[in-house]
Amino acid sequence: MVHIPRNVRPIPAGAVGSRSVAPTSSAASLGVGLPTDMERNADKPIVEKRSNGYKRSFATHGIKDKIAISGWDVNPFKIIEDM
Amino acid sequence: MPTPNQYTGKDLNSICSLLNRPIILTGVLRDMLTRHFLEANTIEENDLKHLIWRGDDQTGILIESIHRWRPEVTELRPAVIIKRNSCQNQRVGIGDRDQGPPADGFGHPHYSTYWTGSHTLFCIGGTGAQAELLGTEVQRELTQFGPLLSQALGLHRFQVMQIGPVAEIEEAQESFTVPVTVGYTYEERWTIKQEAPLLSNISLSKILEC
Repeated sequence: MVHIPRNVRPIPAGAVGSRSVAPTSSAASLGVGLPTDMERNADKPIVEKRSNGYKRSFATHGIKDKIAISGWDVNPFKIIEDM
Repeated sequence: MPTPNQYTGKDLNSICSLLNRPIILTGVLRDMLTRHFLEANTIEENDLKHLIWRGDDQTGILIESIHRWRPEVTELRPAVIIKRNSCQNQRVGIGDRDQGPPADGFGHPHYSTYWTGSHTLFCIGGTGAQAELLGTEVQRELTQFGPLLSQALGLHRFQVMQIGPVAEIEEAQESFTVPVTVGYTYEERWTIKQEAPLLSNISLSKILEC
């Protein structure tokens, strides 16, 4: 069996200039480096990556709690218990 | 009714005769923080050293009680808003009477009771990070000078109890706050001065006739 290092993989034939999207370069999809009795896996379909709606902005979207200062109170029994 | 040597005003001197009251504690906390933000060299956090307090509209930081707070002003500059929370009475004697000798040599009964409550200082900034820094600055000032404050005011307890999470303020747009809550216990003492000794109401002649 031919040994293929995990970080060095051959560029598949026809990958440059003949396809609209680059093919996967995994060893399984290329059919190289597999044991002879293992079937070749089908490629996963190419799907468009979509946003999950979560924006990573601390100042505007990370803080969701709201406090009404006029309605704020602290239970004095909690103060007694904690002190 | 106060005696002529008692001071009954609303400033700190009234503590000598009337002991602590909630509005006095609000004023002391505000006074303590305005003095802290009066000079840059007393401010611990480098990013807050430009927030110099002044007594006019050009102040770098607003430090006010909830009574005088205008939410639209906090949208323009950082602020610390002080609000008193509920207080709870704690009985220390039956009928609030002093235990041991309940009256003095004149027969006037002495009473005392404890009050436990808290103030929350809302540290407000234009961003969550600024509110965090301001909240930490206020908390460290109160925690570290708490023992001196407690001794000066005659409080039984004084302690920063909680630093709340960063949250947006409903009353002001684009403003974030970190609530810092301080708890305390103070004593209320009083004497009821009777116009005549108790025994003067009992007719000794009636007892002798029995």
